[in-house]
Amino acid sequence: MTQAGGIDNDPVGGGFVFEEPVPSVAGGCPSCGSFSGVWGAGAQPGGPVLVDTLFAYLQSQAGPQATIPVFTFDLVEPGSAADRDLNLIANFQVWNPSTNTEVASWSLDAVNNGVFDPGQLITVEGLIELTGTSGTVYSASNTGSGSHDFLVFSPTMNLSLFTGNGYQFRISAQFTNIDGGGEEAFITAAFVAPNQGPGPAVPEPSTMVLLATALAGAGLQSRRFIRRKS
Amino acid sequence: MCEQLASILRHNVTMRKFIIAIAFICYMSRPALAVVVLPDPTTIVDGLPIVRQFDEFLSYNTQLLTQFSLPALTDRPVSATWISYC
Repeated sequence: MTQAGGIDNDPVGGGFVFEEPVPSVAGGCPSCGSFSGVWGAGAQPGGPVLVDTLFAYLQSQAGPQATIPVFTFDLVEPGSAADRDLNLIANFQVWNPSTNTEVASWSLDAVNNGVFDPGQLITVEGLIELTGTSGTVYSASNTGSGSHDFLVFSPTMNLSLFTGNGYQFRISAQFTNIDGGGEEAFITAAFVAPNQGPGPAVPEPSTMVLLATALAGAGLQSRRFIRRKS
Repeated sequence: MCEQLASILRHNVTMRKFIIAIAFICYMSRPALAVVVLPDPTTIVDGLPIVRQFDEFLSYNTQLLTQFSLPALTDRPVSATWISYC
């Protein structure tokens, strides 16, 4: 993993500054094969990542309903069948730097038991093919750069529960079976996890009616003003 | 037209306040209109779940969401924080 070509998090949307991406192994990809690193603990410039800052970023960019970070992953592996999958595992922590202890954690691994299982890497598939009950085949080719192929969140990762204490937000990740360059992971405020209160995407009809009424009133008022003036 | 509008704004305090209020409402609603709320993870389409569970996380595939006629953006996010680049 590398911060290639001047990529950094200074600033991101809203002017927020975060720790720079985790650097690659020496020599970079392709051929690095595997990688492990920690983002958020302050090992890179701009760190550590504070829960307060991350929460403020989400709220600023996505509105008050955004309390759970959404992660995206752009799989860039080569398209050939032998190389298109990779494996990864990650542990997400809220960390108390004063006591040097974990406050909360969330695991992304292949065993659904709510506990971090080192060695139980998931497979990120370069090609997904599913057949519905209707017989329709759904196919996703995820290799190649420039789009976020996967959107990931943990329903219990409500950061509002951890603000105001100076806690850090850390991600420890390990990738294996890397065959090409450019695998990218983000936190983004372009998406909001579901079930976080009222949806923000479309203004309510009543709001639009109120706005239309106000505009009509303004139009009438201005006509009256113009008529009175002339 | 512009002159009339300028004249109205110059002389009509109520109208001036109204325009400021509308501008404020538009500004405040700006971030909310830019985000996509991910679909309910319990949704089933054509007998298929729209998410895969990986321990404490749920994962959507953006191409499948599109094929399921559910909201997704597949281009790079406008507002994003890099975690890693390999």
